Amino acid sequence: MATQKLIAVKEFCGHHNIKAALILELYKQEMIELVFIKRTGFIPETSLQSLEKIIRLHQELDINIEAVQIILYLLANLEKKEAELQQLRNQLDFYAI
Amino acid sequence: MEYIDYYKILGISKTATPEEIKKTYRKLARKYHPDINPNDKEANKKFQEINEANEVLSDPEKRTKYDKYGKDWQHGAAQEQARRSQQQSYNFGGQQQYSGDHDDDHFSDFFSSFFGGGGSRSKSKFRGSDLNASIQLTLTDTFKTDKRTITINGKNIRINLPAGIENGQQIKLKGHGEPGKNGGPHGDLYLTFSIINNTVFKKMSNDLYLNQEIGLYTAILGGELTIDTLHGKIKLKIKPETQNNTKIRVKGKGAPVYKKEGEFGDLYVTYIVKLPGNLTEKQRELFTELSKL
Repeated sequence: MATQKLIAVKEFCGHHNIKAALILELYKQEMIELVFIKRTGFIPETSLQSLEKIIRLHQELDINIEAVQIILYLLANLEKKEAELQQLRNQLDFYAI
Repeated sequence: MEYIDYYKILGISKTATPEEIKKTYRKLARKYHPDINPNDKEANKKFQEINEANEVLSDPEKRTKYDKYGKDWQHGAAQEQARRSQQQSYNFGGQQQYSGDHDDDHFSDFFSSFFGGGGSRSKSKFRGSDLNASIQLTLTDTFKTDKRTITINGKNIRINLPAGIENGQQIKLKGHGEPGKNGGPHGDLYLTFSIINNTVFKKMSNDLYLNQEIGLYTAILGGELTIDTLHGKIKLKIKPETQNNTKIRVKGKGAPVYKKEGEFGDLYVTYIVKLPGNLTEKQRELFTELSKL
């Protein structure tokens, strides 16, 4: 069975100077994953990068959570389109003489 | 080193109120923040510029000094330097007024000369900028998983190159970008791969394509052919009466599938029938005979 690294929500909040309620709100909005062990919330290490990005957008740029959700969706879309564009470029190279 | 017009960078007048500065900064930061503009060097540069402008104009002390000297900043910087030296000579403990955990790389030379280093007032943590680098590999390099050491900004980074990397593919190395500001996290390093084809194959996705010449007689009468693949030599049976441009698929003899060990695409071989040239008299006679049948 693969092991999973977890960071306690409390520890994360202390480090970033944020309230645990924000993390729970993000969880409720299905923007992040949380793991609960004996009613204590933990953040999987794999979710850490996206969570830190959400926190930065929310705190540094004063963007509300709903807007952050839209930004993340659009960025993911952009990334997907860029990958498609690259794939098409590669196909074009294939047919080039 | 040139004078930097911080008012122009933020697009505000010299009489702008602190509220206007804050509002404009927020607006521009939302537009140029590295998280909103991944892999955009121009946006990152712009973000640093507006950050620096905000650092100066939102701090009453710095703004007053900046406004006082304006374009005559070199004179102001010299005076400031003299004032700091004098102050340091009084501080026997060696305390420095402009210490801090900031990263001077995020500030222009102009700022450093004028204010003596990076901003120390702001408590906002900013993530470091992302870095972009490109790596050139040969197609052969992408056929097997490998490790490489690359040097970025004087630092050696050991990276794992999984087999099957595509041309233009980008991988992210978390935390290998520029250091953050005020204790903020490091940015990421984005590596883009440029693949040079050094083989006889053409590659599309995980499949490889090969144009293979066969002689007229083999095409008509059938035969066997040995070709080199990534997986060693293989023998192909050519059916009698094979037409020019016939394409056959050799399953599992293509390129490796990215991050799926043991999985490979297919190899497509197109037979190009090569007509004989420089016919002898005898051959010409026989072809003429054939044509009359």
